[in-house]
Amino acid sequence: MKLVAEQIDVSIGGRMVCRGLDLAVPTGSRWAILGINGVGKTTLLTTLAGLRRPDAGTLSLDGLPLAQLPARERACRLGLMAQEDSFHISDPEATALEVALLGRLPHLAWWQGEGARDTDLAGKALAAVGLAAVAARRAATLSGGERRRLALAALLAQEVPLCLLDEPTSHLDIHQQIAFMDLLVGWSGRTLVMTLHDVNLAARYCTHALLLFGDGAWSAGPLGELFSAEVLTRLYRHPVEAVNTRTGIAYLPR
Amino acid sequence: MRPLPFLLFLTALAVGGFALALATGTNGLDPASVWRALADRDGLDRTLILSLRLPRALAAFGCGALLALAGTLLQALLRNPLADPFVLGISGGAGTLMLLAMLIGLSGPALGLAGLAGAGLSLGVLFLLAWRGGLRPQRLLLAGVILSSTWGAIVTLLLALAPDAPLRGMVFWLMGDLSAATPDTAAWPLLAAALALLLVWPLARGLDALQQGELSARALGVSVERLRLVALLVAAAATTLVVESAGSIGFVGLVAPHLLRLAGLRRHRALLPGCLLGGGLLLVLADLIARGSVAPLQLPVGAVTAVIGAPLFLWLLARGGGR
Repeated sequence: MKLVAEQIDVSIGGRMVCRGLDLAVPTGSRWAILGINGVGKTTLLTTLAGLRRPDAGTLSLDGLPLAQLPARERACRLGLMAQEDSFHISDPEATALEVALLGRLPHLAWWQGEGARDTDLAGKALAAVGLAAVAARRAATLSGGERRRLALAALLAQEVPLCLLDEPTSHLDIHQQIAFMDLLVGWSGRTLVMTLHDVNLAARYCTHALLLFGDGAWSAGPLGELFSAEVLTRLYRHPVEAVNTRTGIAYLPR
Repeated sequence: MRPLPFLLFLTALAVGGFALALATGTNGLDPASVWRALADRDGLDRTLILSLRLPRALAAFGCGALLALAGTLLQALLRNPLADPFVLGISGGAGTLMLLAMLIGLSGPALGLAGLAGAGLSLGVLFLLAWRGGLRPQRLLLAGVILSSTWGAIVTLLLALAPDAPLRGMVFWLMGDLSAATPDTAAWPLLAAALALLLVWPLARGLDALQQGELSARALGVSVERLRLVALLVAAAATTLVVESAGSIGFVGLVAPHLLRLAGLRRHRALLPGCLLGGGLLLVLADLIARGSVAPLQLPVGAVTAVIGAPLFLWLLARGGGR
Protein backbone atom coordinates (compact mmCIF):
# COMPACT_ATOMS: atom_id res chain seq x y z
CA MET A 1 0.00 0.00 0.00
CA LYS A 2 1.68 3.13 -1.18
CA LEU A 3 0.54 6.61 -0.21
CA VAL A 4 1.78 9.46 -2.36
CA ALA A 5 1.33 13.18 -1.84
CA GLU A 6 2.14 15.51 -4.69
CA GLN A 7 2.60 19.20 -4.11
CA ILE A 8 -0.05 19.41 -1.41
CA ASP A 9 -0.77 22.58 0.50
CA VAL A 10 -2.47 22.18 3.86
CA SER A 11 -3.64 25.00 6.06
CA ILE A 12 -5.98 25.43 8.99
CA GLY A 13 -7.57 28.63 10.21
CA GLY A 14 -5.37 30.71 7.90
CA ARG A 15 -2.15 29.11 9.19
CA MET A 16 0.01 27.14 6.80
CA VAL A 17 0.77 23.58 7.92
CA CYS A 18 2.81 22.57 4.88
CA ARG A 19 3.38 24.07 1.47
CA GLY A 20 4.10 21.99 -1.62
CA LEU A 21 4.57 18.75 0.31
CA ASP A 22 5.86 15.84 -1.74
CA LEU A 23 5.76 12.56 0.05
CA ALA A 24 6.03 8.92 -0.96
CA VAL A 25 5.21 6.47 1.80
CA PRO A 26 6.39 3.07 0.64
CA THR A 27 4.87 -0.19 1.84
CA GLY A 28 6.19 -1.28 5.19
CA SER A 29 7.74 2.04 6.17
CA ARG A 30 7.06 3.68 9.51
CA TRP A 31 6.75 7.44 9.58
CA ALA A 32 6.80 9.91 12.44
CA ILE A 33 5.24 13.33 11.96
CA LEU A 34 6.93 15.71 14.36
CA GLY A 35 6.60 19.38 15.20
CA ILE A 36 5.71 21.71 18.05
CA ASN A 37 2.21 21.86 19.53
CA GLY A 38 -0.25 23.56 17.24
CA VAL A 39 1.90 23.26 14.13
CA GLY A 40 -0.78 21.16 12.45
CA LYS A 41 0.31 17.54 12.88
CA THR A 42 -3.23 16.27 13.39
CA THR A 43 -4.53 18.39 10.51
CA LEU A 44 -1.92 16.92 8.19
CA LEU A 45 -2.64 13.39 9.41
CA THR A 46 -6.39 13.73 8.78
CA THR A 47 -5.57 15.14 5.34
CA LEU A 48 -3.36 12.15 4.58
CA ALA A 49 -6.22 9.94 5.78
CA GLY A 50 -8.46 11.46 3.10
CA LEU A 51 -10.82 13.01 5.66
CA ARG A 52 -9.93 16.59 4.81
CA ARG A 53 -9.13 18.07 1.44
CA PRO A 54 -5.76 19.69 0.87
CA ASP A 55 -5.90 23.29 -0.41
CA ALA A 56 -3.89 22.23 -3.44
CA GLY A 57 -2.19 19.15 -4.83
CA THR A 58 -3.26 15.52 -4.99
CA LEU A 59 -3.07 12.50 -2.73
CA SER A 60 -3.14 9.00 -4.10
CA LEU A 61 -3.31 5.53 -2.67
CA ASP A 62 -1.81 2.78 -4.83
CA GLY A 63 -2.12 5.09 -7.82
CA LEU A 64 -5.81 5.92 -7.18
CA PRO A 65 -6.72 9.50 -6.30
CA LEU A 66 -7.71 9.43 -2.62
CA ALA A 67 -10.42 12.07 -3.08
CA GLN A 68 -12.28 9.91 -5.59
CA LEU A 69 -12.14 6.73 -3.57
CA PRO A 70 -15.57 5.86 -2.05
CA ALA A 71 -15.46 6.30 1.72
CA ARG A 72 -15.98 2.65 2.55
CA GLU A 73 -13.43 1.42 0.07
CA ARG A 74 -10.95 3.91 1.46
CA ALA A 75 -11.69 2.59 4.95
CA CYS A 76 -10.84 -0.93 3.78
CA ARG A 77 -7.35 0.24 2.78
CA LEU A 78 -6.53 2.91 5.30
CA GLY A 79 -7.40 3.32 8.96
CA LEU A 80 -7.05 6.17 11.41
CA MET A 81 -6.69 5.93 15.15
CA ALA A 82 -7.88 9.32 16.36
CA GLN A 83 -6.71 11.13 19.44
CA GLU A 84 -10.27 11.45 20.69
CA ASP A 85 -12.21 8.55 22.01
CA SER A 86 -15.60 9.56 23.28
CA PHE A 87 -17.65 6.38 23.40
CA HIS A 88 -17.20 6.24 27.17
CA ILE A 89 -19.28 9.42 27.34
CA SER A 90 -21.81 8.98 24.57
CA ASP A 91 -22.12 5.19 24.69
CA PRO A 92 -21.16 4.20 28.23
CA GLU A 93 -22.71 0.74 27.94
CA ALA A 94 -20.59 -0.44 24.99
CA THR A 95 -18.32 -3.35 25.81
CA ALA A 96 -14.69 -3.54 24.75
CA LEU A 97 -15.56 -6.26 22.23
CA GLU A 98 -18.30 -4.11 20.71
CA VAL A 99 -15.88 -1.20 20.31
CA ALA A 100 -13.29 -3.47 18.67
CA LEU A 101 -16.00 -4.89 16.40
CA LEU A 102 -16.63 -1.41 15.00
CA GLY A 103 -13.36 -1.83 13.15
CA ARG A 104 -15.16 -4.36 10.95
CA LEU A 105 -17.65 -1.70 9.79
CA PRO A 106 -16.13 -0.93 6.37
CA HIS A 107 -16.00 -4.64 5.52
CA LEU A 108 -19.70 -5.21 6.18
CA ALA A 109 -22.55 -4.24 3.88
CA TRP A 110 -25.46 -2.59 5.68
CA TRP A 111 -27.61 -5.67 5.58
CA GLN A 112 -24.89 -7.97 6.92
CA GLY A 113 -24.62 -8.80 10.59
CA GLU A 114 -21.25 -9.36 12.21
CA GLY A 115 -20.36 -12.96 11.47
CA ALA A 116 -18.24 -15.47 13.35
CA ARG A 117 -15.18 -14.31 11.40
CA ASP A 118 -15.69 -10.69 12.48
CA THR A 119 -16.13 -11.62 16.12
CA ASP A 120 -13.10 -13.85 15.84
CA LEU A 121 -10.98 -11.05 14.34
CA ALA A 122 -12.11 -8.57 16.98
CA GLY A 123 -11.36 -11.10 19.72
CA LYS A 124 -7.90 -11.76 18.30
CA ALA A 125 -7.25 -8.03 18.06
CA LEU A 126 -8.19 -7.63 21.72
CA ALA A 127 -5.88 -10.50 22.62
CA ALA A 128 -3.06 -8.92 20.60
CA VAL A 129 -3.24 -5.72 22.63
CA GLY A 130 -3.56 -7.65 25.89
CA LEU A 131 -7.23 -6.88 26.51
CA ALA A 132 -8.71 -10.36 26.00
CA ALA A 133 -9.60 -10.58 29.69
CA VAL A 134 -11.72 -7.42 29.60
CA ALA A 135 -13.55 -8.11 26.31
CA ALA A 136 -16.94 -8.25 28.01
CA ARG A 137 -16.31 -5.27 30.26
CA ARG A 138 -17.75 -1.87 29.55
CA ALA A 139 -15.19 0.16 27.66
CA ALA A 140 -16.01 3.19 29.81
CA THR A 141 -14.54 1.42 32.84
CA LEU A 142 -11.13 0.90 31.22
CA SER A 143 -8.13 3.03 32.17
CA GLY A 144 -6.73 5.68 29.83
CA GLY A 145 -3.94 3.37 28.67
CA GLU A 146 -6.34 0.48 28.16
CA ARG A 147 -8.58 2.71 26.07
CA ARG A 148 -5.66 3.60 23.79
CA ARG A 149 -4.99 -0.10 23.34
CA LEU A 150 -8.68 -0.71 22.68
CA ALA A 151 -8.61 1.90 19.91
CA LEU A 152 -5.60 0.06 18.52
CA ALA A 153 -7.52 -3.22 18.67
CA ALA A 154 -10.33 -1.67 16.60
CA LEU A 155 -7.70 -0.55 14.07
CA LEU A 156 -6.24 -4.07 14.02
CA ALA A 157 -9.69 -5.54 13.43
CA GLN A 158 -10.15 -3.12 10.54
CA GLU A 159 -7.41 -5.09 8.73
CA VAL A 160 -6.02 -2.16 6.80
CA PRO A 161 -2.54 -2.21 5.26
CA LEU A 162 -2.00 1.52 5.96
CA CYS A 163 -2.48 2.78 9.50
CA LEU A 164 -2.44 6.42 10.54
CA LEU A 165 -2.21 7.08 14.26
CA ASP A 166 -2.64 10.38 16.07
CA GLU A 167 -0.52 10.49 19.22
CA PRO A 168 -0.83 6.76 19.86
CA THR A 169 1.27 6.93 23.03
CA SER A 170 -0.41 9.88 24.74
CA HIS A 171 -1.58 9.04 28.29
CA LEU A 172 0.80 6.08 28.41
CA ASP A 173 3.62 5.64 30.92
CA ILE A 174 7.10 4.57 29.78
CA HIS A 175 6.44 0.86 30.13
CA GLN A 176 3.16 1.16 28.19
CA GLN A 177 4.75 3.37 25.51
CA ILE A 178 7.40 0.77 24.77
CA ALA A 179 4.91 -2.10 24.87
CA PHE A 180 2.55 -0.20 22.59
CA MET A 181 5.25 0.69 20.07
CA ASP A 182 6.69 -2.85 20.12
CA LEU A 183 3.20 -4.06 19.31
CA LEU A 184 2.81 -1.54 16.49
CA VAL A 185 6.07 -2.34 14.73
CA GLY A 186 5.47 -6.03 15.32
CA TRP A 187 2.65 -6.03 12.78
CA SER A 188 4.25 -7.43 9.68
CA GLY A 189 3.85 -5.58 6.43
CA ARG A 190 1.70 -2.73 7.72
CA THR A 191 2.63 0.78 6.80
CA LEU A 192 2.46 3.23 9.69
CA VAL A 193 2.24 6.99 9.81
CA MET A 194 1.94 8.54 13.25
CA THR A 195 2.16 11.89 14.94
CA LEU A 196 4.39 11.77 18.00
CA HIS A 197 5.51 14.12 20.74
CA ASP A 198 8.49 12.06 21.77
CA VAL A 199 11.52 12.41 19.49
CA ASN A 200 13.22 9.45 21.09
CA LEU A 201 10.27 7.13 20.49
CA ALA A 202 10.34 8.26 16.87
CA ALA A 203 14.09 7.62 16.62
CA ARG A 204 13.71 4.20 18.17
CA TYR A 205 10.73 2.93 16.19
CA CYS A 206 10.34 4.84 12.93
CA THR A 207 12.16 4.48 9.62
CA HIS A 208 11.19 7.89 8.25
CA ALA A 209 10.23 11.29 9.58
CA LEU A 210 8.25 14.27 8.38
CA LEU A 211 9.18 17.44 10.22
CA LEU A 212 6.85 20.43 10.33
CA PHE A 213 8.71 23.63 11.15
CA GLY A 214 5.71 25.98 11.05
CA ASP A 215 4.67 28.48 8.37
CA GLY A 216 4.48 25.70 5.80
CA ALA A 217 8.14 24.67 5.96
CA TRP A 218 8.78 20.95 6.11
CA SER A 219 11.39 18.30 5.47
CA ALA A 220 10.89 14.59 4.99
CA GLY A 221 13.05 11.54 4.49
CA PRO A 222 14.72 8.57 6.15
CA LEU A 223 14.94 9.31 9.84
CA GLY A 224 18.65 8.58 10.17
CA GLU A 225 19.51 11.16 7.53
CA LEU A 226 17.12 13.76 8.85
CA PHE A 227 17.68 13.72 12.59
CA SER A 228 20.40 15.86 14.12
CA ALA A 229 20.64 18.10 17.14
CA GLU A 230 20.65 21.18 14.87
CA VAL A 231 17.50 20.17 12.97
CA LEU A 232 15.62 19.26 16.15
CA THR A 233 16.72 22.51 17.77
CA ARG A 234 15.17 24.35 14.86
CA LEU A 235 12.08 22.10 14.94
CA TYR A 236 11.30 22.57 18.61
CA ARG A 237 12.63 26.13 18.91
CA HIS A 238 14.64 25.04 21.91
CA PRO A 239 18.25 23.85 22.15
CA VAL A 240 18.42 20.06 21.79
CA GLU A 241 21.55 17.99 22.20
CA ALA A 242 22.37 14.49 21.01
CA VAL A 243 23.72 12.16 23.68
CA ASN A 244 25.22 8.77 22.97
CA THR A 245 23.67 6.07 25.12
CA ARG A 246 23.86 2.29 25.14
CA THR A 247 20.59 2.05 23.19
CA GLY A 248 21.57 4.64 20.60
CA ILE A 249 21.49 8.39 20.31
CA ALA A 250 19.12 10.17 22.66
CA TYR A 251 17.96 13.72 22.04
CA LEU A 252 17.58 15.80 25.17
CA PRO A 253 16.45 19.36 25.73
CA ARG A 254 19.26 21.50 27.06
CA MET B 1 -30.79 -11.63 26.88
CA ARG B 2 -29.23 -11.67 23.43
CA PRO B 3 -30.66 -9.15 20.97
CA LEU B 4 -32.44 -11.51 18.57
CA PRO B 5 -34.30 -13.63 21.15
CA PHE B 6 -35.18 -10.42 22.95
CA LEU B 7 -36.61 -8.90 19.77
CA LEU B 8 -38.72 -12.03 19.26
CA PHE B 9 -39.86 -11.86 22.87
CA LEU B 10 -40.71 -8.20 22.35
CA THR B 11 -42.71 -9.07 19.23
CA ALA B 12 -44.74 -11.56 21.23
CA LEU B 13 -45.29 -8.96 23.96
CA ALA B 14 -46.34 -6.38 21.39
CA VAL B 15 -48.87 -8.76 19.83
CA GLY B 16 -50.12 -9.61 23.31
CA GLY B 17 -50.42 -5.96 24.30
CA PHE B 18 -52.28 -5.19 21.10
CA ALA B 19 -54.71 -8.06 21.67
CA LEU B 20 -55.26 -6.88 25.22
CA ALA B 21 -56.07 -3.39 23.93
CA LEU B 22 -58.68 -4.87 21.58
CA ALA B 23 -60.15 -7.09 24.26
CA THR B 24 -60.54 -4.64 27.11
CA GLY B 25 -62.73 -1.62 27.38
CA THR B 26 -65.18 0.18 29.54
CA ASN B 27 -68.39 -1.30 28.17
CA GLY B 28 -68.11 -4.63 29.92
CA LEU B 29 -66.82 -6.73 27.05
CA ASP B 30 -64.59 -9.48 28.35
CA PRO B 31 -61.70 -10.92 26.30
CA ALA B 32 -63.48 -14.20 25.61
CA SER B 33 -66.55 -12.58 24.12
CA VAL B 34 -64.38 -10.42 21.84
CA TRP B 35 -63.66 -13.48 19.70
CA ARG B 36 -67.34 -14.24 19.50
CA ALA B 37 -68.15 -10.60 18.72
CA LEU B 38 -65.56 -10.51 15.95
CA ALA B 39 -66.99 -13.68 14.42
CA ASP B 40 -70.49 -12.20 14.35
CA ARG B 41 -70.44 -10.30 11.08
CA ASP B 42 -73.37 -8.00 11.78
CA GLY B 43 -73.02 -7.57 15.52
CA LEU B 44 -72.88 -4.19 17.15
CA ASP B 45 -69.93 -5.30 19.29
CA ARG B 46 -67.92 -6.14 16.19
CA THR B 47 -68.44 -2.61 14.87
CA LEU B 48 -67.48 -1.23 18.25
CA ILE B 49 -64.22 -3.12 18.33
CA LEU B 50 -63.29 -2.41 14.73
CA SER B 51 -64.25 1.26 14.66
CA LEU B 52 -63.27 2.35 18.17
CA ARG B 53 -60.74 0.07 19.84
CA LEU B 54 -58.79 -1.04 16.78
CA PRO B 55 -58.09 2.47 15.45
CA ARG B 56 -57.13 3.68 18.88
CA ALA B 57 -54.80 0.75 19.52
CA LEU B 58 -53.29 1.11 16.05
CA ALA B 59 -52.72 4.83 16.52
CA ALA B 60 -51.22 4.26 19.96
CA PHE B 61 -48.88 1.59 18.67
CA GLY B 62 -47.81 3.66 15.68
CA CYS B 63 -47.29 6.86 17.66
CA GLY B 64 -45.30 5.04 20.33
CA ALA B 65 -43.13 3.45 17.66
CA LEU B 66 -42.52 6.79 15.94
CA LEU B 67 -41.67 8.54 19.20
CA ALA B 68 -39.23 5.84 20.27
CA LEU B 69 -37.54 5.88 16.85
CA ALA B 70 -37.29 9.67 16.87
CA GLY B 71 -35.90 9.63 20.40
CA THR B 72 -33.25 7.06 19.55
CA LEU B 73 -32.21 8.91 16.40
CA LEU B 74 -31.88 12.23 18.21
CA GLN B 75 -30.02 10.69 21.14
CA ALA B 76 -27.52 9.22 18.68
CA LEU B 77 -27.32 12.32 16.48
CA LEU B 78 -26.83 14.74 19.37
CA ARG B 79 -24.85 12.18 21.36
CA ASN B 80 -26.91 13.15 24.33
CA PRO B 81 -28.90 10.65 26.42
CA LEU B 82 -31.34 13.38 27.46
CA ALA B 83 -32.52 14.08 23.93
CA ASP B 84 -36.15 13.29 23.16
CA PRO B 85 -38.36 13.92 20.12
CA PHE B 86 -39.38 17.31 21.50
CA VAL B 87 -35.91 18.64 22.32
CA LEU B 88 -35.36 20.46 19.04
CA GLY B 89 -38.61 22.41 19.01
CA ILE B 90 -39.84 20.90 15.75
CA SER B 91 -42.87 19.41 17.44
CA GLY B 92 -43.14 22.58 19.51
CA GLY B 93 -43.58 24.56 16.31
CA ALA B 94 -46.17 22.11 15.03
CA GLY B 95 -48.02 22.05 18.34
CA THR B 96 -48.04 25.82 18.81
CA LEU B 97 -49.42 26.58 15.37
CA MET B 98 -52.00 23.83 15.73
CA LEU B 99 -53.07 25.23 19.07
CA LEU B 100 -53.31 28.67 17.53
CA ALA B 101 -55.42 27.21 14.73
CA MET B 102 -57.70 25.53 17.30
CA LEU B 103 -58.06 28.81 19.10
CA ILE B 104 -59.28 30.62 16.01
CA GLY B 105 -61.69 27.78 15.35
CA LEU B 106 -60.02 25.85 12.55
CA SER B 107 -60.33 22.08 12.40
CA GLY B 108 -59.62 19.08 10.18
CA PRO B 109 -57.10 19.46 7.35
CA ALA B 110 -56.45 23.13 8.15
CA LEU B 111 -55.25 22.05 11.57
CA GLY B 112 -52.90 19.56 9.95
CA LEU B 113 -51.54 22.21 7.61
CA ALA B 114 -50.93 24.56 10.52
CA GLY B 115 -48.93 21.79 12.21
CA LEU B 116 -46.86 21.18 9.09
CA ALA B 117 -46.17 24.89 8.76
CA GLY B 118 -45.02 25.08 12.37
CA ALA B 119 -42.72 22.07 12.00
CA GLY B 120 -41.33 23.46 8.74
CA LEU B 121 -40.73 26.84 10.33
CA SER B 122 -38.80 25.27 13.20
CA LEU B 123 -36.78 23.06 10.88
CA GLY B 124 -35.91 26.11 8.77
CA VAL B 125 -34.66 28.02 11.80
CA LEU B 126 -32.62 25.00 12.94
CA PHE B 127 -30.95 24.63 9.54
CA LEU B 128 -30.22 28.33 9.41
CA LEU B 129 -28.51 28.21 12.80
CA ALA B 130 -26.91 24.76 12.81
CA TRP B 131 -25.86 24.21 9.20
CA ARG B 132 -22.23 25.12 8.67
CA GLY B 133 -21.32 23.07 5.63
CA GLY B 134 -23.04 20.20 7.46
CA LEU B 135 -25.11 19.85 10.62
CA ARG B 136 -23.27 20.84 13.77
CA PRO B 137 -24.81 18.85 16.64
CA GLN B 138 -23.81 21.28 19.38
CA ARG B 139 -25.36 24.22 17.56
CA LEU B 140 -28.37 22.10 16.69
CA LEU B 141 -29.00 21.18 20.32
CA LEU B 142 -28.54 24.72 21.59
CA ALA B 143 -30.73 26.25 18.90
CA GLY B 144 -33.32 23.51 19.42
CA VAL B 145 -33.55 23.96 23.17
CA ILE B 146 -33.99 27.72 22.80
CA LEU B 147 -36.55 27.28 20.03
CA SER B 148 -38.40 24.68 22.04
CA SER B 149 -38.68 26.91 25.11
CA THR B 150 -39.80 29.81 22.94
CA TRP B 151 -42.66 27.70 21.57
CA GLY B 152 -43.42 26.59 25.13
CA ALA B 153 -43.74 30.20 26.23
CA ILE B 154 -46.07 31.01 23.34
CA VAL B 155 -48.23 27.99 24.25
CA THR B 156 -48.48 29.24 27.83
CA LEU B 157 -49.57 32.65 26.53
CA LEU B 158 -52.16 31.05 24.25
CA LEU B 159 -53.56 29.01 27.14
CA ALA B 160 -53.71 32.09 29.35
CA LEU B 161 -55.59 34.02 26.68
CA ALA B 162 -57.87 31.17 25.56
CA PRO B 163 -61.58 31.34 26.48
CA ASP B 164 -62.81 28.61 28.83
CA ALA B 165 -64.71 26.56 26.26
CA PRO B 166 -61.84 25.16 24.16
CA LEU B 167 -59.35 25.22 27.06
CA ARG B 168 -59.96 21.69 28.35
CA GLY B 169 -59.57 20.21 24.88
CA MET B 170 -56.40 22.21 24.30
CA VAL B 171 -54.81 21.07 27.55
CA PHE B 172 -55.74 17.45 26.83
CA TRP B 173 -54.29 17.69 23.38
CA LEU B 174 -51.10 19.26 24.73
CA MET B 175 -50.52 16.32 27.03
CA GLY B 176 -51.18 13.87 24.26
CA ASP B 177 -54.56 12.40 23.47
CA LEU B 178 -55.34 9.41 21.27
CA SER B 179 -59.14 9.74 21.33
CA ALA B 180 -59.16 11.49 17.95
CA ALA B 181 -58.03 8.32 16.14
CA THR B 182 -60.39 7.44 13.29
CA PRO B 183 -60.49 4.21 11.26
CA ASP B 184 -59.32 6.08 8.10
CA THR B 185 -56.10 7.50 9.50
CA ALA B 186 -55.28 5.23 12.42
CA ALA B 187 -52.83 3.04 10.51
CA TRP B 188 -50.74 5.94 9.18
CA PRO B 189 -48.41 6.31 12.17
CA LEU B 190 -47.60 2.60 12.13
CA LEU B 191 -46.98 2.58 8.37
CA ALA B 192 -44.83 5.69 8.77
CA ALA B 193 -42.88 4.02 11.57
CA ALA B 194 -42.23 0.99 9.36
CA LEU B 195 -41.07 3.29 6.57
CA ALA B 196 -38.86 5.26 8.97
CA LEU B 197 -37.29 2.02 10.19
CA LEU B 198 -36.56 0.96 6.61
CA LEU B 199 -34.90 4.32 5.98
CA VAL B 200 -32.68 4.41 9.05
CA TRP B 201 -31.89 0.76 9.66
CA PRO B 202 -29.18 0.71 6.96
CA LEU B 203 -27.50 3.55 8.90
CA ALA B 204 -27.55 1.65 12.19
CA ARG B 205 -23.89 0.68 12.32
CA GLY B 206 -22.93 4.23 11.34
CA LEU B 207 -24.90 5.52 14.34
CA ASP B 208 -22.92 3.14 16.56
CA ALA B 209 -19.66 4.40 15.08
CA LEU B 210 -20.70 8.02 15.53
CA GLN B 211 -20.71 7.47 19.30
CA GLN B 212 -16.92 6.96 19.01
CA GLY B 213 -16.51 10.50 17.74
CA GLU B 214 -17.07 12.12 14.39
CA LEU B 215 -13.52 11.68 13.13
CA SER B 216 -13.37 7.99 14.02
CA ALA B 217 -16.70 7.39 12.33
CA ARG B 218 -15.54 9.11 9.15
CA ALA B 219 -12.30 7.15 9.23
CA LEU B 220 -14.40 3.99 9.26
CA GLY B 221 -16.04 5.10 6.02
CA VAL B 222 -19.27 6.47 7.53
CA SER B 223 -20.77 9.43 5.64
CA VAL B 224 -21.38 11.41 8.79
CA GLU B 225 -23.02 14.42 7.09
CA ARG B 226 -25.56 12.28 5.27
CA LEU B 227 -26.17 10.21 8.38
CA ARG B 228 -26.95 13.30 10.46
CA LEU B 229 -29.19 14.78 7.81
CA VAL B 230 -31.24 11.59 7.37
CA ALA B 231 -31.48 11.04 11.13
CA LEU B 232 -32.68 14.60 11.72
CA LEU B 233 -35.22 14.61 8.89
CA VAL B 234 -36.66 11.21 9.80
CA ALA B 235 -36.89 12.17 13.48
CA ALA B 236 -38.54 15.48 12.56
CA ALA B 237 -41.08 13.85 10.25
CA ALA B 238 -41.86 11.15 12.82
CA THR B 239 -42.41 13.64 15.62
CA THR B 240 -44.52 15.93 13.46
CA LEU B 241 -46.77 13.06 12.45
CA VAL B 242 -47.30 12.12 16.10
CA VAL B 243 -48.13 15.70 17.07
CA GLU B 244 -50.54 15.90 14.15
CA SER B 245 -52.34 12.72 15.12
CA ALA B 246 -52.21 12.70 18.89
CA GLY B 247 -50.62 15.85 20.30
CA SER B 248 -47.45 16.00 22.36
CA ILE B 249 -47.13 12.64 24.04
CA GLY B 250 -44.16 13.03 26.31
CA PHE B 251 -41.78 10.55 27.87
CA VAL B 252 -42.11 7.60 25.47
CA GLY B 253 -39.49 9.03 23.13
CA LEU B 254 -37.08 9.71 25.96
CA VAL B 255 -37.56 6.58 27.98
CA ALA B 256 -38.34 3.81 25.49
CA PRO B 257 -34.83 3.88 23.95
CA HIS B 258 -33.23 3.76 27.41
CA LEU B 259 -35.51 0.93 28.57
CA LEU B 260 -34.55 -1.05 25.47
CA ARG B 261 -30.85 -0.33 25.96
CA LEU B 262 -31.05 -1.42 29.60
CA ALA B 263 -32.79 -4.58 28.40
CA GLY B 264 -29.77 -5.34 26.22
CA LEU B 265 -30.46 -3.74 22.83
CA ARG B 266 -27.37 -1.54 22.77
CA ARG B 267 -26.41 -1.67 19.09
CA HIS B 268 -28.63 0.34 16.77
CA ARG B 269 -29.19 -2.61 14.45
CA ALA B 270 -31.21 -4.19 17.26
CA LEU B 271 -32.28 -1.01 19.03
CA LEU B 272 -34.09 0.56 16.04
CA PRO B 273 -36.42 -2.41 15.39
CA GLY B 274 -36.75 -2.69 19.17
CA CYS B 275 -38.03 0.90 19.24
CA LEU B 276 -40.80 0.08 16.82
CA LEU B 277 -41.95 -2.83 18.99
CA GLY B 278 -41.15 -1.47 22.44
CA GLY B 279 -42.27 2.10 21.85
CA GLY B 280 -45.52 0.85 20.34
CA LEU B 281 -46.13 -1.57 23.19
CA LEU B 282 -45.40 1.06 25.83
CA LEU B 283 -47.92 3.51 24.40
CA VAL B 284 -50.59 0.86 23.85
CA LEU B 285 -50.30 -0.15 27.50
CA ALA B 286 -50.26 3.46 28.65
CA ASP B 287 -53.39 4.14 26.61
CA LEU B 288 -55.12 1.10 28.13
CA ILE B 289 -54.54 2.64 31.54
CA ALA B 290 -55.48 6.11 30.30
CA ARG B 291 -58.89 4.98 29.09
CA GLY B 292 -59.58 2.24 31.63
CA SER B 293 -58.24 3.13 35.05
CA VAL B 294 -60.76 5.78 36.06
CA ALA B 295 -63.48 4.98 33.52
CA PRO B 296 -65.72 6.53 32.37
CA LEU B 297 -63.26 9.41 32.77
CA GLN B 298 -60.29 9.36 30.42
CA LEU B 299 -56.80 10.50 31.31
CA PRO B 300 -54.41 12.15 28.85
CA VAL B 301 -52.11 9.35 27.72
CA GLY B 302 -49.04 11.58 27.85
CA ALA B 303 -49.46 11.97 31.61
CA VAL B 304 -49.88 8.21 32.02
CA THR B 305 -46.69 7.43 30.08
CA ALA B 306 -44.74 9.57 32.52
CA VAL B 307 -46.44 8.16 35.59
CA ILE B 308 -45.78 4.51 34.70
CA GLY B 309 -42.61 5.08 32.68
CA ALA B 310 -40.64 7.05 35.23
CA PRO B 311 -40.71 4.52 38.10
CA LEU B 312 -40.06 1.66 35.68
CA PHE B 313 -37.08 3.51 34.27
CA LEU B 314 -35.71 4.39 37.71
CA TRP B 315 -36.08 0.77 38.82
CA LEU B 316 -34.17 -0.50 35.80
CA LEU B 317 -31.50 2.15 36.28
CA ALA B 318 -31.07 1.22 39.93
CA ARG B 319 -30.87 -2.48 39.07
CA GLY B 320 -28.19 -1.96 36.42
CA GLY B 321 -26.41 0.89 38.20
CA GLY B 322 -23.86 -1.24 40.03
CA ARG B 323 -21.99 -2.30 36.93
